[in-house]
Parts: sequence; C-alpha cells; structure tokens
Amino acid sequence: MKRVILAQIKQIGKGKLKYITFIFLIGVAVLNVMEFYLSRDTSVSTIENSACMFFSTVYSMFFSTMHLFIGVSVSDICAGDFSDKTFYYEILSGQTRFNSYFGRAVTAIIFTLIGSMIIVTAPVVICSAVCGWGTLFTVGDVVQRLLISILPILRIICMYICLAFILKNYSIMDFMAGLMVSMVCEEGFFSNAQPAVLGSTSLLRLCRFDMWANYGLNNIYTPVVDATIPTDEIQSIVIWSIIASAAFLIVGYAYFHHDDLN
Amino acid sequence: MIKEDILLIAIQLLYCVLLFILAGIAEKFMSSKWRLFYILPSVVCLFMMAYAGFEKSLIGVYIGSALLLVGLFRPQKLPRRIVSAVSAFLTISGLVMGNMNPSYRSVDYLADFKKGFAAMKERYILAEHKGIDWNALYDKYEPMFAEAAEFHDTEQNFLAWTKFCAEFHDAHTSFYPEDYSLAEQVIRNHSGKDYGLVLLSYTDGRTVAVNVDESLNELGIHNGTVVTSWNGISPEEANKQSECFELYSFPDDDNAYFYRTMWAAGTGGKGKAEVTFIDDNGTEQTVSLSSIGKYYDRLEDALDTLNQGIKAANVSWNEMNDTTACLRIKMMMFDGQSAHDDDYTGMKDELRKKVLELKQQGIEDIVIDIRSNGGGSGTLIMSIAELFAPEGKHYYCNDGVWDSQRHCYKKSDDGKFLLGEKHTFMGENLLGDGHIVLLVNSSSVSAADHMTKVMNDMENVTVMGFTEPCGSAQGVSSIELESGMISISASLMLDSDGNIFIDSGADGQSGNTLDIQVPFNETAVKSLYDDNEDYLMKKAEEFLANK
Repeated sequence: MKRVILAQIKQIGKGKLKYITFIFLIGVAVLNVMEFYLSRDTSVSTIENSACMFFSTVYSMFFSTMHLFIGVSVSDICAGDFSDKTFYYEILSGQTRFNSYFGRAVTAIIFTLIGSMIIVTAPVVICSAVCGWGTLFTVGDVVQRLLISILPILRIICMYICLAFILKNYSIMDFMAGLMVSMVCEEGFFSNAQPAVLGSTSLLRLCRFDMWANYGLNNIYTPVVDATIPTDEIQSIVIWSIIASAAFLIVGYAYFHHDDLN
Repeated sequence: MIKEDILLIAIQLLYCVLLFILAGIAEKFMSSKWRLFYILPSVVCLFMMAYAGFEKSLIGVYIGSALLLVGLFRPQKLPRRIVSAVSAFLTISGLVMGNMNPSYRSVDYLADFKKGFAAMKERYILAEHKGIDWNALYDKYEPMFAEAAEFHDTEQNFLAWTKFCAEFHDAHTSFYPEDYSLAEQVIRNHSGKDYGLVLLSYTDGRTVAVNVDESLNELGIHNGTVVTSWNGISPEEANKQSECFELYSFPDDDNAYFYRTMWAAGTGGKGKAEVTFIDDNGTEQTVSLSSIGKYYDRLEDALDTLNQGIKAANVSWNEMNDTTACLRIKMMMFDGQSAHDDDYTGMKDELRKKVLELKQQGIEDIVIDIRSNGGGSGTLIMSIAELFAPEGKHYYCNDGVWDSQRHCYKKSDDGKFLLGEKHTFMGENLLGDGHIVLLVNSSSVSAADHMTKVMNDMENVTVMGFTEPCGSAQGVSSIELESGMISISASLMLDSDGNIFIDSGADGQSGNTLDIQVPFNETAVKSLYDDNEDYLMKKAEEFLANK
C-alpha cells in the first residue's frame, strides 16, 4: 500500500482540475466576503456586519460548494486510473485490490480533507480580516464547530470514494458533485432532517445558530446568539460520521473487490 | 401517512420486486454492473429520510433498504432473492406500523414545552415585574404537557400552552399553533353552547344581556335585561366555570373586571341553562333556555359590536360634522416602503397636508380612532404625535441597556434597569387651538398603548373609551417550537424613572389611564345593540361640541 500511496502523491500534482476548482472556490469565498462587506445595511434596522454574522448567516453555502472540490479531487485520485487501465495493470503486476483501493482512498482522504478544511476556513478568516470578528460569539465557538466538521467532511469524502469506485468515470463524478451542491443549496430541502442523517445535514447543523434580536424604539436590532450545540447532537454527529465513513469505504471496497475493472 | 413516506414505501416495494426478478436475470447475463442496483435502494432511502425526517415507525423500511446491500456482496441468485423477499416483508411491516402507530410523526409535546419554557425563562423580560414564579408554573403545567405527549393530543397541547401564556397577563405572550385554524376551532368547541345571549357588565356593576336572539324576546329577555343569576350562581362565578376562562387573561385588572362575565352565557350542561333576570315590570323571573348553536359565534359578534372602530381604511379620514374629522388608524403601519425604511416622513407630510386642508374647510377638532389597533411601529406614532403635540420637546420613552456578555438587560446595584437611549420628539401643534379625542379600547395594544401613553400627557388630547387600552408595550420576540411558536415580551422599554414602560406588574395596573371613561350603561347598550350606532364616536362628538 505504501507504494500505491507514494505513487498517488507523485500523481497529485498532475491533475489540474482540482487545483482550478480549489482556487475557484477560494475566489468565490473572497467575492462573498466582499459582497457581504459592501452590502452592509446602513438603514435603521442594522445587524452588525462582522465575521460572526457572516458565519451565522451565509456559511452553509461554503459547506455546500465544497462538494465541488471533493467530487473533483476524489474522482481525479480514485476514478482517473480506470480510464487508462492503471488499475488493471496494477492488479496484473501483483498488487492486491485491497492495497490499490485503500492506497488511493487514504491519499484521497488526506489530500481532499486538507483542501476542504482550507475551503471552509478561509472565508471566515478573510471576513475577520476585512470586517472584524464581532461580538456575537467567540473565535473558540467557531473553531469548535470547524473541528467537529472534520468528521462529516470525512464522511462525504468517503461517500465520493465509494461512488468513484462504483461509477469509474470522473465526468459522471463531477456531475454528481454538482448535483449535490444544488440539492444542499436548495433552501429547505433538508430542513426536516436530523443532523446526523447525512454528512451535509451535519454540516448545515454546525453552521446554524439559535438567534434572536432585541430592539429599541429606533428599531436598531441587537442580535443575540446562542452558540452552544447540545452534547447529544455533537455525539450523534461524531458517531454517525465515523460509522458512515467506515460503511462507505467497506461498500466501495466490496464492490471493487469483485469488479471486472472493465 | 405523509406522501413522502408513502412514496418511499412504494419505491421500496417496487425495488424489491425488480431486484427479485433481476437476481434471475443477473445469473443468466453475468456482469458485475448488476450489483449497482442493490445500492440504489439505500441511497434513495437515505435521501428520503433526510428530506422527510426520520420516523421510528418506518424502521422496517430503513432496515429493508439496508438489507438489500447484501446483493452487492453476494452475487448469487438465492441470497439476492431471499433479501428481496425479506426486504419486501419489512417494508410492508413499516407501512402497517406507520398507519397503526398513534405517535406516527407526532411532536414530543413535553420536550417541546421544556424547550420553550427554558427559552422563555432566559428571554422574558417582565418576569420580575409581574412576579412570575417559574418553578410553580413548571410544576403546574408539566403534567398537562406530559398528558398531551402521552396521548399525542394536539388539542390538549394547544390548551396547555394557551393557559400557560395566559398566566403572564401579557398580550405579547401568546402561543400560535403550527396549524392556526386549530386555535379558533378549539376555542369555539370549548366556549360552550349558545343560549341566545351574551352577558356583559354595566359600569354600575349590574350584569346585562346583550346581542340577544329574537327568540328570547317572548320570554322577556332583550338587550339590556338585567341578569341576576346563571344556572343558580352569579354570572361572575359562572364565568369562571367556562373552559375558556383560563385561556384568556387581561394585562390590566380594570379591563379584566369589565369583561368578568364574558364567558358566563356559554356555560351549562346538557344543552340547557337556567337564567334569572329582572323583567320589564321589575319582577324577577327564571326561565330555562335551550342551546341554539355555539356560544363563540354570538360572543364574537357581541364583541365586534362593542369594540368596533369607525368603518374606514387604515390611516384614512372621515368628516363627522362641520367641525370634527376622524382619523382612523387600524394598525401602526402605513405602506411597505415606510415599514421597510422605518421612515414615515412621507406619511407625515400627507397627514399634515390633509389637516391643513381640513382646517381651511372649517374643521377644528379631530378624533383619532385607534380602537382594536393591534400595534406596529413606534416611529409611526412619533410621526403622528409630532404633528399634534403642543410646540416644544416631548418625552416618549427610554430603551434598556443590553449586556452582550451575559445576554440580559443591565441593572443598577439597586435592581433597577439602566436607562439607555432616550427618545423625544418636537411638537408642531398643527391643530392650533383645536382639541383631539383619542378613542381606545382593551384591544388597543402594543404601539397603540404607546400612542395612548404619549398623547395622554398632551394638554390638547383627551383619551376616551369604555375601557383602558390593553397594557402591553414591550418589544416582541418569538420562540420557534415544533408544535408552533410563542411570542414574548423580550425587548425592554422604560419610562424616565427606569420603570417598565406601560406594562402592568404584579399589581395588575398598566401605566395607561383614561381621561374619560364612558359609562357602559343602558344608553350605550341600546345605541350599540338595538340602534347599531357607534356609541363611543357619538360621545366623542358630544364632548368636542361641548368643550
């Protein structure tokens, strides 16, 4: 497996699409921050324009568009070697299917996870630099949520890995990623979901806050945010992310193990 | 069952049949791609579960879809057919369970209450002012919600929440169920039967019949007939026996006293009620009345008549006579743009122009009718008050000071709220020597309470009505629940002494008063219920003519 991983690491630099996607999504983050800053409401009913408000109101979008990077990255690492029969020759040369599968899976997980965490962290960092942090909640509250989000993101990556080995076609994979983005972005599609049922619903829960506002006679609103997440919700997100990640990897391997590689 | 669950079950059963058949086909035409079909049910099930939400009655369906993954690992015909059959059985069991389970997709009303209660305790700003004992309230109402949860009783949940909110004597604290039609339906069902009359109380203390059905005339009961007992007890006692008595409360005790017999005429068992009254000859009589419908409809009609404002559009003018015009304000809103910007300069200019026109036509005095005004923008009130207030600076109210660390309003060491921004306005005295009558009733609430308070202090304004305005003036916030929503007083407004602005405290007295309390008497009842007149408007015109 070590040789497979090293080979994949060497190959990572070659696929341009995932880097283009990564840069594109960072660019989207920058544009969103600028739009947030420039469209700050100066009317009487004003909510503070800060990184806190940015995170609590628009951040679900970044967790959704991150699917694009995950889909492209995983398809490049896992599905790309089907079209040029690299898998076929690798198995013929004596490499076990287990090593071929998990070597790529491990590489995809590490690379994609790092890239995804940068994509979901960059917007709030950029916004904090432009607009200031704000008063609604602390940096620690956001760091906690971003750290918890590693597991649902891992779950999503494992789902794409499973899909990559089943579909074996990175164009279809990219299409699936786009479809996921549009589904998750559709407001209300997952509004009834318990947080742990999908990786995306877990992430949507992590960027949702209990928020209300006080106001005076002049209608200037003071937003009040409860940044705590109930412990049982955190536990269910963590446990189900681990279980689902393992399940996706097992299903993907089970399919690949008996696949005819054509 | 909801359509999403039915769709999921239908798709799952279809899959099971298809996969059962496919198992045979896959054996004949060997290909590893057949395995893909055994993954699809799990994917569909997962997304439907995310879309519609998890439901434990359908656990069989969820397990059935996961079970089909065996076909991915075991490509032989027999295991695939076995799992297809077992999955179909589990799916059908899910269908049966879903239909038979009384708790199918029901809300956990007890958990919902606990969540709402905790949020209220954190955010309700008048708890100390009104002497709220949170522990006692919890102990009293938790069993009701537990019962509602046990029997999945939506009606019981609504009743429990409504009674709970009524304990606060705050018109801004109310429960709104998910299905709003439930509210009227439940209250209508619990209001009792219609025996052909509504009981209200004169200012002098006597209880009288109003909105009397014609069929009772031959028994000697008509509008204004004095009623001395209902089913053998006083009308006030009968009122307390109504199931609706605990559903409604008044912020101001004076208003509660005015309506102390409101529900009485709906009480009585088995469709019969005994009423004792004084007939036109002064003789006390007792008759038995039969039910002719639902009491809620007759009461609603009676209160509409009592609380009518002049029939006109919002912020519109009516000329009452040569010297008096009426400005009707049904709600403290003008149009979408002014509401969005919270800028009523345009409205103010229109009103100013109209008042000057009216003055040129000879109008001297104005009646501002805010009866049954449900509130809205404080800025709108300031704009109107500025037009009519005597020249000079006038005080409105103070905001509180919010502590963003501790999520509460700041208090001084002696326990009083700290004063935030002070709101004042400058008067134009547009009317000059003219006088203003402000007509209010117990349904003039929130911003209408504000207007009453602000204008009451003006020497050129007389506040008039049968009852004081409602007595709830703090800013409103909402708490989302699974079964609906609660509104609560959550944004603080204070007077210049740091006391709560207007809202009644534990003493049941709001900060609003009337300059003239129009007596509710025989003349009023005849004018309202026999002659269909706007009695209060008549009294306002009389007052202005004689001032």
